[in-house]
Amino acid sequence: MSARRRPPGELRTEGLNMTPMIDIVFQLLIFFMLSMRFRDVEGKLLSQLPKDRGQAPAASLPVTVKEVRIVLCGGDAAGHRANRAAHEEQVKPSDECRVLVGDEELGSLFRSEKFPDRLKENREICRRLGARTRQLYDLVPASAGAPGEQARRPPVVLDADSETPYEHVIGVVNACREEGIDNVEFAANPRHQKYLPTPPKGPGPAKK
Amino acid sequence: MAARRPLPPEAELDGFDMTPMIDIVFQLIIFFMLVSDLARARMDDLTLPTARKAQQERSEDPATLVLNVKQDGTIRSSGVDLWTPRMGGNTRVLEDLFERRRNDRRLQEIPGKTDWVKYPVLIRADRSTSFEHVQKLLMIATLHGGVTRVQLGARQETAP
Repeated sequence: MSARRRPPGELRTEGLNMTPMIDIVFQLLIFFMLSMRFRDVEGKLLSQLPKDRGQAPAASLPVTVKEVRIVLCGGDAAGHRANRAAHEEQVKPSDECRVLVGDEELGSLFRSEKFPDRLKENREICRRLGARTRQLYDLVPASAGAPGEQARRPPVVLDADSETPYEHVIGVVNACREEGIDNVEFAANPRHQKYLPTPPKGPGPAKK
Repeated sequence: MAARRPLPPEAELDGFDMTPMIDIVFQLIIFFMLVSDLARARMDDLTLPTARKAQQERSEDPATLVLNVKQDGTIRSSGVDLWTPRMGGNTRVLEDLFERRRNDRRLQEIPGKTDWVKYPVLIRADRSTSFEHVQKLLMIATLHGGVTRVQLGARQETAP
């Protein structure tokens, strides 16, 4: 330690110079404040998957099983546009998604990203879809479940084309939820699948 | 520069006291560091579809598997790409992830049995994602993961 002798008139300086630290600390503070973004309020739609294996259903389902089926035909497969007016030329096939409940067509949903002005119509179609699904759902007889279990209605099956934008799927699930229908299942339809997962190997998980 | 004038002797003591300010600033820094980190770690930046009936959960189950599906179909979890469109039919990474979880005793519905598992899976997909990518995830989750509960991420609709 240096014992520098202070001249009698000199003021004692502080021991630690805080200025650079405060500079850095402020910079850090400003960085974190600016880089922070509050998360949007997010919600979840709870959904069930079938408790057995997620195999695609065989083509020969027993015809006695009555169920409500919602079909979303998106993309080129739908073959629409036939009755499109000329001023709607900018609507590409991939922007439109036909909605069918049972065998009744309810209209088309449009991508909200490209057609934000159609959001209201989309909502209206979803509302009608919910109402129609509810009507049909009430007609489906409840099947007697396993002994000891309550009789359950078969689920509403949502069969969406692979090209269907995810927002429409959520819209349909939401519409069913609003009508009080909780069990919506997704159809695993092989005709829509480009990327079939490989079935699990070995003795492990396939057992029931 | 002018030479400093000698201050009166009491100035030594009542100079500007920085200590409380530094305390507060440090606390703010720590707050922002923690908050910004937590918000980003698992949730990717996506435009979720809106749904009125989406439920908001106060506390999130830490066992939840969060899967983000981007617009082009890329599937990410905790910042790692699990599947990209270039991989095509190769879904091994996803399958392995689900199988690892299925074999984790703590997550099994009946410990020791790999039939069903009980951790929630949250699927957050962009609103324009083709449904095939979500469907692929669902199929892998049931086939390889024994998953029965799925949560579909949506933004809560504000306007009527």
